[in-house]
Amino acid sequence: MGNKRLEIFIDTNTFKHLAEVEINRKPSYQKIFEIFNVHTCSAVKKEFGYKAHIRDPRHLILSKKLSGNSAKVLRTRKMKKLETLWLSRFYKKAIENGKDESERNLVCILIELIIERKITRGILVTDDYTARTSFLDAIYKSFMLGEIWNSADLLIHLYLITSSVSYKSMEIALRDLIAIESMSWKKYKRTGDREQDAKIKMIGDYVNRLKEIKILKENYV
Amino acid sequence: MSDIINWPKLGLRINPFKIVPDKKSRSKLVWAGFLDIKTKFNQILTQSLSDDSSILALIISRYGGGKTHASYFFSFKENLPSVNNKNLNPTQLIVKTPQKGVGAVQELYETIIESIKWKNISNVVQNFLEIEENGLEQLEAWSSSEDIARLIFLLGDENDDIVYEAQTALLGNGSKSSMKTLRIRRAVSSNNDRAEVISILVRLLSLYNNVDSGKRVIIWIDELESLVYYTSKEYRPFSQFLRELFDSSPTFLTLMLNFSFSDPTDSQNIEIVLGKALIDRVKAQIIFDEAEVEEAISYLLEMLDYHRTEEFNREPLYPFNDQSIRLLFAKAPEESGNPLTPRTINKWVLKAIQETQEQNTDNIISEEQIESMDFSAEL
Repeated sequence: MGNKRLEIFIDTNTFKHLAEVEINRKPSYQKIFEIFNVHTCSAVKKEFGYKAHIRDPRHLILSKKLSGNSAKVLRTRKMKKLETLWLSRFYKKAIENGKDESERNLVCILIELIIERKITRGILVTDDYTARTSFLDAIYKSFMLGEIWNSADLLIHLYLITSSVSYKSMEIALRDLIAIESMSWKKYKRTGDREQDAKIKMIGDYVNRLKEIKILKENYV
Repeated sequence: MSDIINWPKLGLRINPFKIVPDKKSRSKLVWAGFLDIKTKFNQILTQSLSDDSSILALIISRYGGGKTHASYFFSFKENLPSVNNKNLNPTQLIVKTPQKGVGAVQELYETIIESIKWKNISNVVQNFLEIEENGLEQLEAWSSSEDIARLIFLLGDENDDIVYEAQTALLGNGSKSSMKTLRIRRAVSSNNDRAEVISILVRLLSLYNNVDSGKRVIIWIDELESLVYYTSKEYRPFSQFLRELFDSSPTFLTLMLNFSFSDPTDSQNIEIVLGKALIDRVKAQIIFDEAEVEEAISYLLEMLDYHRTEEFNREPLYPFNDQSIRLLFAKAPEESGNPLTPRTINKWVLKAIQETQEQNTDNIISEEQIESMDFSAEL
């Protein structure tokens, strides 16, 4: 069997979060670029180059990476057509620039790549839980495109398949990731919970999953 | 629905069902019901006041479970348990965990010092220097830094300018010329320095305060669940500061850490947030889970009783009766999905009174009225 790499599609929010978290003293996306086939869209690239003078310096470094060969910045000529004729069946809001733009574009690119048999499936990585529940989950379920992960899922998978990241540094990375203000915790919120409750449960869940992988790796010969 | 409630008409002096505790008015701070919890607090505080050893206690409950109220309640000396028939008056500080992780240690350090108050610090240092002939030498023995010892020594100086410069240096802001005036090489700069300053102040306040302090300083740190927003670079120094503060104060300090979590018995997740090192130092723990209906009724009865007018002569649960209050405490948690806690009990009782006050000129709130209320939108 060849050395297959997972095809992953990353949106703006996820890139921002990955840029703010370090693994082995480097931005976590460096490891992601090393291990996975990373795809994104021009809307994401544009976002990181926009208003460069007031942006977080970490975003500017990422912007340069996206201009290089680290990730495939894709576009589809059928974007408008796909958005109006197909996506609008799932996306109930008006299609506007800047509103869920990277999620909309990524899912259109992904469907085109799958139809044209360039890839078989794709993992969409998004920390926008509202976009997930409002249209992405329904599209993925209907068309069997692969799976939707958040950035913490991506780090968990990264830990599973790489030996160059220690348990401790991954635990710290996960904790830092979930601490970020815009990181979505809504999946963990039950009635009566506050944001802090959901975040505590989320950290607990991911640390437990990480521990399981550690045990697996220790016993895997 | 009118929001203005005629409390005397209900046989009550004032509104007993406040959503947030009133820390400024002693008379409004009442402990109602939940005797088991009160007993546990009394045990920890009795142990604190009768033994020199420091104690780290963790108090966990759901949001609105009454932790902040408990800290305000016990921070009044009248509400503390008496030890050997003596009512002691330890220094008590209530501080909040900084909401932002950046500079959190410095923020907490400043809050603790400002809660003690500079004038109280100067007074206790002056007392110490009057009692101890070799005050500076003693401070140097307590501290690992001559500069920190000298700075604390100078807080008892007669010259106000010197005291002011020493205070500024203790907050880490000394200029080179002021350091020269104070004859110190450096101002307080590291987290270990900060922990050491607080630890020396704890010792001074415990041993050299004029009032009968019970040789104790009790620091209540509220909202520790905010640590979930700290990144590891912010969280580690903060938890290390708490550990260092506790470790450098083997005597006279009680640290009461308040932590809100919707699943208070889930110790594993709580440990992930607070860190093993801090959890390992916990000597006492109080967990308040969801209240039972009987506990909620006892709480309500005591709240009503405490706030009754002198001339009141109706049933103790008025304006409720046993059936309607039981229905309220069953229906509201079920419809809202929220547990019974002192805060939700207050909210739901207040809502029931508000929604029925125009219809009930004298009658009690009936089961039918409770049945017609909607609690599904209640947070």
